[in-house]
Formats: sequence, C-alpha cells, structure tokens
Amino acid sequence: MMSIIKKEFLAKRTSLLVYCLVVFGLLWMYIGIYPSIQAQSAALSKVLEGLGPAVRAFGVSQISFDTLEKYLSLELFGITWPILMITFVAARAGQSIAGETEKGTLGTVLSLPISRYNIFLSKYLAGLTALIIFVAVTVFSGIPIAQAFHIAHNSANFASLSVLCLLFSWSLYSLGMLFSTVFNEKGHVYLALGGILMVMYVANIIAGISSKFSWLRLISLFHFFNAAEVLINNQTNSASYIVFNAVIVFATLAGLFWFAHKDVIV
Amino acid sequence: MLRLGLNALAISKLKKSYGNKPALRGVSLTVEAGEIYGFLGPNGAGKTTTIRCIMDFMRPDGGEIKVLDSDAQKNSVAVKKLIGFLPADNQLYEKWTTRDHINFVTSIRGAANVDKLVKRLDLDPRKQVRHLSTGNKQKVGLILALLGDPKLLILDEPTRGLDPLLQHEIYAILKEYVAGGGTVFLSSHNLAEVEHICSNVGVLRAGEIVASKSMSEILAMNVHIVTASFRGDKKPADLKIVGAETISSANGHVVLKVRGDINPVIAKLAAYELADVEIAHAPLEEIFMEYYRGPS
Repeated sequence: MMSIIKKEFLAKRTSLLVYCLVVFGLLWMYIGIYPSIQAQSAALSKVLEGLGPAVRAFGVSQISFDTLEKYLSLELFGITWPILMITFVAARAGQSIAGETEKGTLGTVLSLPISRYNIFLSKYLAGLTALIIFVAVTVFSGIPIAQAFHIAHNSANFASLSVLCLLFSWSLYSLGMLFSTVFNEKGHVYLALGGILMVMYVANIIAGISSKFSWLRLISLFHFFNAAEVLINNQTNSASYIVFNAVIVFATLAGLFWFAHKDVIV
Repeated sequence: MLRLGLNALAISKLKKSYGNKPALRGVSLTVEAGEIYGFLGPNGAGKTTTIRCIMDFMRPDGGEIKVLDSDAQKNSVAVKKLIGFLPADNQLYEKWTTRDHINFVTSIRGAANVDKLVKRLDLDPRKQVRHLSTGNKQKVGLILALLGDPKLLILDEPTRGLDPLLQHEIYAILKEYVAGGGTVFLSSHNLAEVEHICSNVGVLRAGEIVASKSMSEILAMNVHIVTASFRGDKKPADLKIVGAETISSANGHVVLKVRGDINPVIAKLAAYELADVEIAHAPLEEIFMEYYRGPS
C-alpha cells in the first residue's frame, strides 16, 4: 500500500509544488500589501458598499478592510482560493483513477497482488496528503506570514479557517474521487465535478439574492463554506462540519464500492 | 479435451456480455502446468475479454476461472501473486525509467534479480519510458511480467510489432521459463509463432471455443491444396467433388482445397487428361482459417 501512496504522491509532486507556490505567493502578496490597503480602508469600504446588497450574494459578509482577516476573507478566500483549490482537487482526483484508466496504466497496478480496496485507499490517501499540505501552505501559513510582516492578526481564526478549508476541499476531493471511479476519462470527471459545483454556486447566489429561493442554499456546499465568518469572527458553524463530513463519508464509501465492483477496460 | 496432470488454468463455462451484446458464450478450456498454450481467434472473438476476466479486471456474468486450483475472482490477490501479465496494449508510466518500473513492481511482488534479463534484452534501465521504442517498451513489459517468480504467464500478443530478432529472443526466454516449471498462456495472431512455441492451442470464435487441440493434432489435419492443369477437349469447368472446395478455376487450371481423404479427388481427376498436378499440405493459415471463418 505504501508503494502506491509513494508512487501517487511523487508522480504529482510538481503540480502540488506549483499550486502551493502560486497560492502561497498570492497570500504573501496580499498580506505584504495589506498595510497600505488598511490605510485606505475607509475609502475602499465606501466603494464596495456602493455596490449594494448583490455583493453579499457572492459570500461577502463584511465589507471592510480594517483588519487583516476581513481583508483576506474578501480578497483571497471569497473566490480566488476556492477556484484554485477546486482546479487542484479536480485535477488530482481526475488523474488518479479515470486518468490512469484512460492512459491504460491502471492495468499495471491492477495486475499486481493488491486488492482494489487497497488501490483505491492508497490513491485516496496520497491525494489527501497532498490536500493537507496544500491547505497548510496556503491557509495556515497566513500566521507566520503575518508575523513576518508584523501585522496584527488572530492565529486562532486562521487555525479554524484551515480546518474549514480542509473539510471543504476534502469533501470536493471525495466527490472527485467518486467520479474518477465512475468515469473512464478524466475529462468526464472534470465535467461532472465542475457541473455540480457550478449548479451549487449558482444556487447559492440565487438564494442570496432572493429570499423566495433561500432554501437553495441548502443544496450548495458553498453556503456551508462560510470562510468570512470563521476568519473574521472565528464563528464555526456545526452544520458546515456535519455536511462536509457527511459528503466525505458518503462519497468515499461510494467510490470505494464502485471501484471494487466495476469492470475496468484497460 | 480433458488432460491428465495439474491444470495451471481452468476456465469453465465463462460468460460475459457488454450490455446486451454477449462477448463470451460459455468458454471452457484447460491449460496444463508446464505448457505453452496458444489462444487464437479473429479480432473481436473475445480473447482479450477472457484475459481481462482471468486477471479480474472484469467480472464474469457466469462460469468459473481457476488458476492453480484457486478461484481467480474470490482469491484475486492470491491468484495475482501466481500470475505474470503482459497486456496487448502495454502502457507504462511515460516519465518513469525501466528501473523505476522494476522497483515499483518488486516493492509489491518482492525482490527479484532481473539485471541479467535486462542485460540480455539489451535494455538501458536508466532511460525514461517515453524515450523507448515499441520493442523496448515490450521488453520492459516482459521483464515486469517475469518479476516475482510467477507460476503462470499470461501474455496478450507479446510479439506484436516486434522485429524477428526480438521475437526469437522472446521465444527463447519463454521456452526457458517453461523448462523451469512455468506455464504460458499466450494470445496471438501470429500463427508461425504459435506453431513454433505452443504445444496446445484453443481457437475462439464469436465468444465460443471452436477447437482445443494439441499442435501436433492441428498439423496432422488432412487439409491439402490440389493444383491441376488439364489438356485436351475436356475442361473441368464445373468440377464438383465432395469434400473439396474450388478456390479458383480458369483456363483449364483448377485449385482445390481438400478436407479429409484425398483419394476421391485423385480418382475424379484421373478421369481427365492432366497436364500437371501438384498436391501440397495446406499452410497453417489455411487450417486456422477453417476455424476462424466457421460454417458457411
């Protein structure tokens, strides 16, 4: 099992490094320029307030730059981080099983004396390890970066956000791995995962705009990814943890079952 | 045909469908330990599907597969310890070197000393697979299949696209492997290869085994090609002989394929004034074509 985990992890170490460097670079840049943004906080807040309530539909709860946490929740964790995380997770999950089926290399692994459960779990754990590193480098590292720039920050909030980001990305990764076992081409995995996330995102926006459709929030994982509340107020919502954990457990077990029983044509 | 001795592979009434389309319709065959078994059939006959079921890549709809008396589906992991596999479309990790592949497989199958084999096949283990030719990739695949001291080698068209020199090297390796107690189950389209190395063959057509014979039985089948040229007024334009198939007939020249006893054909031809006659054993291709084409 360790051989497959090692193989999977090393095979995709370059993409992990690139993603980590890019997002870490963004985090470094945002924190680095924060002092000058903070100086113009009042003026910028006025501009954003002028955009009206529609801004809140996009997950923005507090339009202010007077603290680092408020600024980062708006600039980085509102949309940029989720988008980069989704592409990272989709690529990882898509290539893991569907990508290997498409290339035909899965035959090499399947012909070895290892059970399909172990193959799936090894690949899954390799991806999860990469995900933990990604979250640690791109979220948790906000603490040492802020310290390096001598900017006031709340470490506990960053720690809580790291947990939320990990659970959110883990749930999407689990869904991606489920699709990776169902489809034989990685393009189909991207399409399925991207399609579902698109529907969820739009549902969340509609729910934010119209109170008539507020129930649509409940079908969107984006609603439960309340990064701003966690980063600014350290207010964790237990429903978020329940939903993300439920998705993780369901998608992982479903993927495991499907992979163990499917016909693999390689 | 039942044979005495331990079966390395026994397939019984194997069935598999793709949706509503049956690919295997009750395939049964046995491969005795210590032999090279040729698995033949036209494209789409179900050879690769059979192999996928043996390897547990696909789950059969019915029937049973036993490798050295162990159920290939129920004891999949244990069975794969006994099997070395080379797929038809041997796909390797492009960015890995031969050494990376060997290290990966040995980390799961157990340590193996393959340096001699790597040297014998003239392979540079440090080269990335993406820089290797088709033949060299096939060499890597064969080395991987031989790792972990397998008891049964399953090879799906192992010499496809290889030059004759390399083909003969692979035949030599397989013969040595069998001499050391191993068994080979080999799917192939190369009839010369099958004739050269296989002791028994099974022919699959449209998902069914239509022949399972020893190579000597196949070669002893009485199929002859008779070529005759006629002189004089009598032209055998409609020469009809039971058991003979007219392959061509023009300008007093006729080519016949004769199955079974050749004497009635000779007696019939004797009624004509012959300019020339030639009787030859049909080549192996012709014999297999009998099975491939099926009843007309």
